[in-house]
Amino acid sequence: MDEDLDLINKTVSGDQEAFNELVRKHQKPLYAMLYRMVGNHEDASDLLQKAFVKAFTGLRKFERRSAFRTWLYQIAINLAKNIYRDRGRAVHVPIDDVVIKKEPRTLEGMIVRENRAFLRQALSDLPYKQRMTLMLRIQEEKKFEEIAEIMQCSLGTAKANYHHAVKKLKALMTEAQGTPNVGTDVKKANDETA
Amino acid sequence: MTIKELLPAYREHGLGEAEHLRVVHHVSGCAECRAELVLLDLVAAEPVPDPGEEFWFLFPGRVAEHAPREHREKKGIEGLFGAGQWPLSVRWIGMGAAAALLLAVSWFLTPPLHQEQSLTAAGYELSQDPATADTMDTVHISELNNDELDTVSAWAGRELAAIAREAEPVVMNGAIDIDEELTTLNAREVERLSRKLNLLNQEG
Repeated sequence: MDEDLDLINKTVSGDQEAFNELVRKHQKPLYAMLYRMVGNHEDASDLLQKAFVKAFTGLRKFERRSAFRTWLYQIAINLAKNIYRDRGRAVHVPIDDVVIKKEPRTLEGMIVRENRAFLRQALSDLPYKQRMTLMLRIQEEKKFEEIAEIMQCSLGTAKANYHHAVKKLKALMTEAQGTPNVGTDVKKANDETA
Repeated sequence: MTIKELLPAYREHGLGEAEHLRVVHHVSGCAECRAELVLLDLVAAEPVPDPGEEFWFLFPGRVAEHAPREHREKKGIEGLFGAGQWPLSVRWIGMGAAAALLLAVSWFLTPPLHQEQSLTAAGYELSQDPATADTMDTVHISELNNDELDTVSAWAGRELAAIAREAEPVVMNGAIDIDEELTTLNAREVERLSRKLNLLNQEG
């Protein structure tokens, strides 16, 4: 965190390279979070760029009460929220991840693929705040205190969102595994494998 | 804290020994919590394709390229003018430079006028007569009548006498080599000087 503050001070003093260093430091984890949120490289990289540009232009407004990383995630999530809502929670799932023609034709591989497809569908059906909270806690391994800061809510709300997300995810996964569309794709794959 | 609340930290190996054992003991006998752990592992294992080293290498430049130009320049200048003050300073510098340029151009466009005024002022000093200074025009000598010629002649005699008085101590002290000065005169100038000296001798 101190390293971030040093780079921020240098950036505010006009050192562009210091900001480049901040970008290099945070670009990969932030991209991973955005990719999981929007489901494709084009949108994820576009949002990543917008988030850093917004951070750069608003760096003087950064109050330094929270970590730079937390502030950056706030910016990125607010930007991604618009895309997420515009899509009506429909997350793009690459077709190759659903149809398993190119994957190793092992039973274990198929089970993993099948579960992944179900999971993505279930995740995309979660309400926005629940999904974000689950992603931040499980995929980004962030503590609830930091999640509350990023999501700009209370600690209790962050924990409640997480528990609702897990509960609903379980229900959706159970429901999705009985969905004809996904089942058909998996059945096709099973036929091709056989 | 409930077991379900501890599950994320448990799978991240972030619990203390006591809490860790508590979860292990509970999970061994609870199918629902085991299922939840499998689900959390599945969520955590969601793959994110790496766009490649080239993408990461070029990305900071991409951000810099898309940052608004005014912010990039602003940050560069901030160090010189102080935060929040530079726009005003730059504006004043710009206005000052424009005003200086305007003055310089106007001065260069009007040098003949300045020169004429300067020469006229010098003429006033020579006349030492403010009353006539405003009306003094160039007049050819043929336009003067006899009285006017007498007046001019008397003025010229006084002026030459004054010059001679000022020159005499300098010449006598050897500050000016009169022989050397005379060599720079042509024949006509020497003749005129000779006539003037004769006239002065006659007047005593």
